Amino acid sequence: MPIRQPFHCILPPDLLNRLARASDEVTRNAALDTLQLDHLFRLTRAEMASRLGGRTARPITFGRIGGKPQRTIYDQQHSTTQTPGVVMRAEGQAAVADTAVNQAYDGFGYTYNFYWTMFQRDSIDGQGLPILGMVHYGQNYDNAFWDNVRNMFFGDGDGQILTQTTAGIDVVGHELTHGVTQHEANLTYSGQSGALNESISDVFGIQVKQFALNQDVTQSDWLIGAEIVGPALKPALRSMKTPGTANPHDTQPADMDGYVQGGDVHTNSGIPNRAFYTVASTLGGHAWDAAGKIWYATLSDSALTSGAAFQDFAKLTLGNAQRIYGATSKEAQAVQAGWAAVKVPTT
Amino acid sequence: MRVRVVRRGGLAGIALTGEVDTGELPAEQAKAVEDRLHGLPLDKPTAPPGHPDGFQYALEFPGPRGESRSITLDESEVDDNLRPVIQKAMERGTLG
Repeated sequence: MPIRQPFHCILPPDLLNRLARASDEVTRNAALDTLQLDHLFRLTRAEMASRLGGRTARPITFGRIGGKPQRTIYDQQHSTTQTPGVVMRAEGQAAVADTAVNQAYDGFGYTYNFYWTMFQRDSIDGQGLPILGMVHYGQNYDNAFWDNVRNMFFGDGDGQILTQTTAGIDVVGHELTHGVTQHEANLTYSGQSGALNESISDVFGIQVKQFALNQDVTQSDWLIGAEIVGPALKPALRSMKTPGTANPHDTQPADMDGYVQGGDVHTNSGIPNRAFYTVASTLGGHAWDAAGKIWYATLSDSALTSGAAFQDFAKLTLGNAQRIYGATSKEAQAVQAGWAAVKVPTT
Repeated sequence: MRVRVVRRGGLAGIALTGEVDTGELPAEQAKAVEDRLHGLPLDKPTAPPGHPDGFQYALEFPGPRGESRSITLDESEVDDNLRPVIQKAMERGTLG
C-alpha cells in the first residue's frame, strides 16, 4: 500500500527546502520527493510549451524567487544503476567526510552561482531545476556526464586516464552547461553542431572556474580537466588557448585548416574554443565581462537552431556583440578577430 | 574468440583500444559473451549517445563462420553479459 505523502501540494519551495533539512528521515524524504515532483510539473509545462512551438517555456516560478540552488548528492557505491543511491548531503547541510560528495556539492554551487550572478539564470532550465549529483558511479569509471534529465554522474576514474572527476570545477561547469544547452539551442550532438555543443560546455565550464577563483583572462590557464587527469593524460584534457597541446593524445585542431571530417565532437570543438579564448583575451579583464555575455546571448538567441554550423554560430556572436555593444564597438571587433583567428567567416 | 573494443566519446573524447580473447574469461562468462555477441542483429543501427559525453563502444569479433563482424553500442546498451569482456579490454587499452 502506498504511503500517503502529505507534502505533495502547494507548499512553497522555501518551506519544502526547510523540511528537506528536517532531522527525521520520513519528513526529509517526503519533502525531497515533493521538490522533485514540483519540478516535474514545471518541466512538463516547459515541454508542452516547446511542442507548441515556443523555444523554451516562459519563466514559471511558483513563488520561487531564485538565487539559491537545490542540491542533493547521492553515493552510488560503484553501481552503474542510474537510480539515486544513498543521500549523502542535501541543500544546506554541512560538509561530510567524503571529499567527492563535498566537491560535487560545491561544484554545483559554483556553477549555479555563476549562471545566476551573470545571467540571472535560475539553474539549468532557468526555472530552479533541483540538481542531483551521483558520486562514485561505476567501477573505475573514467567519465562524468549530465544525463539530459536532472542528474550529473561522477566516476572515480581508473587512476591512470582520469582520477576523481568531482575535483574539476570546470568539469562540473562543463557537464551542467550541457543541460543549459539542452534547454536553449539543443544543439544536435554530432558534426559541427555537436562540436559547438561541446565547445559551449568548455566555454562556460572554464568561466565557472575562473569566476570561482576570481581569475582574469591572463591568470587562467585555459585548460579543461587539469584537476581530473591521471598520469596518461597530464597536464589536461584540452587547451582552449592552444588546442592540440593539452596532452600527448590531444588531436584538437586550432583552426579550420585542421578540421577533422567526421571527427569526434570533442575534437573539432577546439576551433570554437580558441575563438572564444581569442575574443576574451583580446578584450582583457574577466572572460565574462563581454565575451561570456556575447556567447550567452548567442546560446539563448532564438535564431540559433539545433543544427547550427560554426559559421551560423559565428555570425550570431557578431550580431549579438553589435546589438549589445554597438556596430563598431571594440567588442564587435574582438569577435571578428576571434573567428578570423580560427578561419571561420562571420558573414 | 578475439574481441577488439574501441571506446570513443566520454568527457575526454579520446579513443581507447584494447583486445581480449574470451578464453581468458571464466568459461561461463565467455559463453555468455559469445552468445550475446552472436545474437546481436548485424544490421543494428548505431544508437546515438544517450546523453552528451556518453561512451560508445565499437566491437569487432568473428561471426560463426569466421567472418569479421563489427557493431557499435552506446554505453547504455552494455549489459552484464558484455561488461566483463569490455572491462578487460579497456583495462589493457591504449589511448589515441
